[in-house]
Amino acid sequence: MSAGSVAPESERNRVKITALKAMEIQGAGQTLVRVDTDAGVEGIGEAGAPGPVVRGNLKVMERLLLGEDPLAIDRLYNTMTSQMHTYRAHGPTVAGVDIALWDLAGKLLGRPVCDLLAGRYRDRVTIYHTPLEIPADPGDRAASRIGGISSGRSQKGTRPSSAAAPTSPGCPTGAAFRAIPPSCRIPSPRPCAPTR
Amino acid sequence: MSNTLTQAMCADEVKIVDGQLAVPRRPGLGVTLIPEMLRHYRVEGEPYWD
Repeated sequence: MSAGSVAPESERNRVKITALKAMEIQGAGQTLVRVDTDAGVEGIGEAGAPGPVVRGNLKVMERLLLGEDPLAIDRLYNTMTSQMHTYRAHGPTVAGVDIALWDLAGKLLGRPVCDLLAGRYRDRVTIYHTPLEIPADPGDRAASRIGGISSGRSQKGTRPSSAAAPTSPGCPTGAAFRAIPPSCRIPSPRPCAPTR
Repeated sequence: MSNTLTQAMCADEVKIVDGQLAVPRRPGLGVTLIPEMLRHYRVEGEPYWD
């Protein structure tokens, strides 16, 4: 291994980044990011910003990333964060590219991403859902979403403490939260932002 | 199998059982996106990968 790269020397500088793409998916203002290479392998990531914003960021990042070795993940991360505006308004896009680079590295090296990080720690992970998009009928919508995710789930889960639940009247997140069956565990319910 | 957006857009390797996701063993993140589903679920007006 060498500093700034996830790959041994023999694997480095064999592949080049050729394009950066994006596409916003319905649901929560999330945008998929794709990093293409001249090896015909592509990496996929996710950015927490709308499609046009991510595309705008990527257009600027092309100056920094095109032609670079995608396996130099740390170096490229530092390039993205240090050679663009210090306020880092492009942070979500950096995250999307970073995730895509890890996906790409795993594909190029033939290994799962967890093995490239600290190694596989567990075989299964508990998933959770935060109601990012608050609809007009939060209760019904949240119930259907959570129901979809948790179908077949064990009934042994516990409801988080009431202190963690947003309870103020009229808080849509609170309504969504209350619609969730007590048996469905949510590790981290999203706090309700103050409303005016 | 439950019908979530994630599962609709990804190939069969993404399996959620008892509220838990099996950590993929395939190279990379271990997720294969389905092109037709991406076209279907992209935000209106969004180009397909631009």
